[in-house]
Amino acid sequence: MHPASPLPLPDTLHPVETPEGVMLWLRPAGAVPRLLAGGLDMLFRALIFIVASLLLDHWGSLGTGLQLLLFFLLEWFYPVLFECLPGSATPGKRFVGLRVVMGSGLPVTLGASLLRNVLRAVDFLPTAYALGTLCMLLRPDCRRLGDLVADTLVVYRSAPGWQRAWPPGPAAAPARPLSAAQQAAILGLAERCERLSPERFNELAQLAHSVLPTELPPDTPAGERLLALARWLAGQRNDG
Amino acid sequence: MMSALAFEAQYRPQWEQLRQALAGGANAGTGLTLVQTYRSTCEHLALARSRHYPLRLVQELEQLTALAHQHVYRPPAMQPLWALRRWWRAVPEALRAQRGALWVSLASFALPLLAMLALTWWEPSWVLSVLSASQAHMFEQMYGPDVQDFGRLRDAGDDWTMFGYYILHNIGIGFQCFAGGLLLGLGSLFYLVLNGVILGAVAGYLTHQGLGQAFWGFVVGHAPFELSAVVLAGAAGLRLGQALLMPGRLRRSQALIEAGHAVTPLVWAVMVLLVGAAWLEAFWSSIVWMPMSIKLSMSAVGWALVLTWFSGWTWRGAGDDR
Repeated sequence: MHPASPLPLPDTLHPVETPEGVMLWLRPAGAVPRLLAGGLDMLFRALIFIVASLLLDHWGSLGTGLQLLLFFLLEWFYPVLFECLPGSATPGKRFVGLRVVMGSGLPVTLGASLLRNVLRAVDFLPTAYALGTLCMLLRPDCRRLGDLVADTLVVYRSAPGWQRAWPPGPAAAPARPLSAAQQAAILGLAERCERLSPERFNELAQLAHSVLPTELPPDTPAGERLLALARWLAGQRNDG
Repeated sequence: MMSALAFEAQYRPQWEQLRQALAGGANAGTGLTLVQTYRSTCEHLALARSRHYPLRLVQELEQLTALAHQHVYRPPAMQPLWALRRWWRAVPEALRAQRGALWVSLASFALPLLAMLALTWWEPSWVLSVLSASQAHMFEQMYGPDVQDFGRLRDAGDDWTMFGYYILHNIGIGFQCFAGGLLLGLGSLFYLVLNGVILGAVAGYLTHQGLGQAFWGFVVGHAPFELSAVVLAGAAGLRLGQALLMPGRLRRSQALIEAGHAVTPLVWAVMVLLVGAAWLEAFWSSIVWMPMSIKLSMSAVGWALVLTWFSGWTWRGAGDDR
C-alpha cells in the first residue's frame, strides 16, 4: 500500500467552493471535444442557412436582406441563444456532452455569453481559431480568450461514472485493521471490478493479500476475497 | 462511525426528495424545504468524503449537490423591461467610468479622420495612398450625379438587401473593433485608425470632386449612431487592452474579468446603435430627393439623442431608485 500522498494528484478539475463550504469539482472539457462541438455547430448553422435560403430565394430582395440578416444572427447569436436556454449548450456542445457555466459553477449569464461569443473574433485569429486553440492548450482549465474575459468555463455535463456497485455476496473482516486510506483504496478497487477482466482483477487484488480476509474457504480467489472485504468495510454483516 | 450502507439507508429518502424537487423545474423547487434539503445534502457530501465512503456514493452526492447549487444560486429571472432600464442607465455610467479609454478611442478615430479629410480635400491624389484607383472610382460612381440611391452602385440590391448587408458588415466591424482590444489594445487601435483614415479620405476626395452634396447627404443621417458606435466599440476594446497591459493591483486574469464586466453594457450599446444605423443607412440615408436641410436637421436630432443618452441626462436627478 502506498502512503497517502502529501501532494494532490495533477488534474484539470476546477474547484469551486459553495457558500455551504463544500467543494464542487467542475470538469473542464479539453480542446478536442470543444473543437468537435464547434465543428458540429458549424455544420448545423450551415444546414439552417441552406434550408432557410431555399425558402427565402422566392422572396426577392426582401429575401436576400433576410438571408444576410440570418447569416449575421447565426454567426453571432446562435451560440448566445442556446447558451442562455436551459441546458446552457449549443446543439453541438449538447451532442458532445458539454455545457457552459460561469467560473463559479453557476449557469452562464446573458452578458457573459454575449462577451465570450463576440470575442470569438479574436480567438479566430489568425485563422481557424488558432489563437483560441493555443490558449486552450496552454491552460489546465482549457479556457479560450473569450472565456477568460467572460469568466466562463466549458465543462462536461456529467462525471464519467466508472464506479459501479459491486455484486452481492458474503462479507468478511480484514486480516488486520486498515487505515482510512487503505480502506478507500480497497473500496475504489472493488467498485471497478466490473470494468476489469476477472484475471486482471484477481491479479490486482493479490497485491493486497496480506490484509484480505482469512475466514473464507481457502480456494476462494483473491478477487472474491477483496469484494467480501469491501462489503464488510461498507457495513455489510453476514449475520444481520 | 456510521457505515456507508447505514448512512445511505438513512439519508437516501432526503436525496430523492431533493432530486424530485429539482426535477420539478424552475418553479416547483423553491422555498425553504428545498434550501434545507440542499444544505443537509451538502453536509452529507462532506461527511461521505471525509469518511472515505465508496466513490459511487460520493459521486452521486457530488452531482446532486452541483445540480442543486446551480438551482439555489441561479441569477434571478430577468424581467425584460427592468433589464432594459438597467442597461439604459449602465451605458452612461460605464462611459463615465471608462472615460480614459473613451477619449483615446475618440482621438484615434477622429484625428486620422480629420487629418485625411483635410489632406484629400486640399490634394485629392492623396486618396490613392489608402485606396486603389478602382476603389476611388467606385466611390465616385456611388455618389455620381445620375445615381438612383445614394451610396450604392447601380447593380446593388434595394433597401432590404442593403439593410441585411449593412447589419452583417457593420456589426462585424464593430465587434472586431472591440475584440481586437484583447491583442494588447493594438487591434482596436488598428481598426479605429484604419476606419478613420478611409472615411476621411473618401469624404475629402468626394467633396473635392464636387460630389459633396450627395456624399454628405448620405452619411449625415446615420452618422450619429454609426460613428458613436465605432468609438464605443474601440473604447471597450481599449479597456480590455488596458487590463492586459496595466492590471494595477489585480492579477491579469482578474483584471480582464473586471474589464469584461465593465464594458458589457457598451457592447450591447454598440450592437443596438449599429442596428439603428443600418436601418437608417438602408431606408433613410439613400433617399435622393430628400432636401439636404431635412437630412441635416434629422442628423442634429440623432446627435442630440445619442449625446443626451451618453451624458446620462436621461435619468440623472429624476429621483429614481438606483
